[in-house]
Amino acid sequence: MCRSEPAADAPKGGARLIVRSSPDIVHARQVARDLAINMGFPGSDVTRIASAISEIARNILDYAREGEIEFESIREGKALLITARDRGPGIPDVSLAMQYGYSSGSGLGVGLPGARWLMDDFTIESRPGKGTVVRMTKWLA
Amino acid sequence: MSPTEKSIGQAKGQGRSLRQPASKVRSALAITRTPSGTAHGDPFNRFSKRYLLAFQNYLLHPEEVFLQLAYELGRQAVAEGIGLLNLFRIHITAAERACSNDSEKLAAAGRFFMEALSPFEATHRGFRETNDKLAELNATLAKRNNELGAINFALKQEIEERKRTENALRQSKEHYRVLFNDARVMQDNLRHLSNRVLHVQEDERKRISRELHDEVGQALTAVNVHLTMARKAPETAHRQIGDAQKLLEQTMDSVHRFARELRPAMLDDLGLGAALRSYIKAFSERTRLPVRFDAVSIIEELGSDEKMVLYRVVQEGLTNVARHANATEASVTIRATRVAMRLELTDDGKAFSLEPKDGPPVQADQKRLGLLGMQERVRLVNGTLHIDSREGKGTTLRVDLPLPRQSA
Repeated sequence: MCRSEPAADAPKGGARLIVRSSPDIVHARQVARDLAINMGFPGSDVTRIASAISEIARNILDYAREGEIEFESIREGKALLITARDRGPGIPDVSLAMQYGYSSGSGLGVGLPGARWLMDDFTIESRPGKGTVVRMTKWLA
Repeated sequence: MSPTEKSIGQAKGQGRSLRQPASKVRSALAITRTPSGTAHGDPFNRFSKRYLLAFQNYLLHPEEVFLQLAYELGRQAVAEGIGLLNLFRIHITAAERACSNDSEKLAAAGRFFMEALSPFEATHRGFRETNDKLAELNATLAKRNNELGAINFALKQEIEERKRTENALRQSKEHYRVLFNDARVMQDNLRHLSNRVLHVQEDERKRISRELHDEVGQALTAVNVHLTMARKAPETAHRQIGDAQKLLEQTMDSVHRFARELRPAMLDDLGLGAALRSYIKAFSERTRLPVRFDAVSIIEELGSDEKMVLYRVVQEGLTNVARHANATEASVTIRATRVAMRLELTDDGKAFSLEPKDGPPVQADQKRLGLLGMQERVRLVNGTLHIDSREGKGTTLRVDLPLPRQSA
């Protein structure tokens, strides 16, 4: 199983990964899981975090082909912030894309909204031609 | 329980029941459809196999890649409509068989299953969110509905208001039309009355001049004859002069009567009571109709216009009685009530009616105009006039005038 190298300028208390292929998704999940367990998240939250990573990473692969995911422990270790960036075509209508059941590709329709429901805070910035930035946070209970 | 679920449930005792001859499983499954609409056919079968495989691999190699696979399987289950309970059944079957009493393996099984479940949780929250949005939409619609209803109501009220205004306008137009007509009728009456007054004046003058000519002229001629005879036959002079004097007295009476009819000076000099008494006495003698007269003394405190009106009413009233009523007796009384000076003229003749069939049209007309004249005079001194006439009970003419100030 090939793994991508951690990015050189990873932020402190976290990591930054490139996502270019399916194995990268698995790797990103693993990193997220380890970090979450270390931070003290319960098993169910760990699963939710990993699932959210799956969705975001899949989106990057499907639409932008390449992107990066960044992990950061914030608020003195009380929350995990995950940032996903890509320079893909962007989302023309973010609110439409965030509606449950909407899917522009052949996806299963869970997609981005699915990630939003599994996490606590969720923001998405996207402009056609300018790429997409997703920021999501899980808080320790 | 459907045959399919039964066969899966029996798996724990029969080993790998899902590896049964495909044909047997297929035929059993072909006739079944769960209420959720999922066909327990090949897709479900395939899914179960994939799940089992991934699950067993994870137990052997507990690595993230299989957890990822579990997530993907969960997603697929959501998309294909494989229900949560079915998924659980698939899992628990596999877990019981593979893990037995191995607690570590059981824990691993749990982790695997949890991954598979997260898409379900995601969609569950999605449903809730959609529900909330629907509720919001409903609330907005209800509010809009209410607003529309209120606007509708306001519109209806405005329409009704306009209709009411239109009605009011129409009614007032009608009202004005009626008033206009009434005014025209009054004008006509007034004109007739004026005409009539002029005619009556003229007729009156004619009558007086004729009567003067007839009675007085004849009487004076007769007096002349007597005087001539006295001169020619002196022996009869005493008798002739006596006759002449008698004639002259009668003539003077006539002249006085005429003068009184033209203008009852007695009203001003001797008062209303005396004037009325004198007129009524002459009337009774002339028409042979007994008339009783009774009046309180405070009538003398009335103004001269009021006195004139009462005199004329008695005059006109008694004339009518004599002309139309076929009465045998009449009475004139004037007394004071708490609020008015009341004149009552009653007769026991036939009932007073203004219908044209009451004698020839000319007479009825005269009567009507005479009444109109009386009414008008009475009104001018702020009084009221009523006629109470009943078949078999005679007629009462009643005039009420305001009491004189001093006696209030």
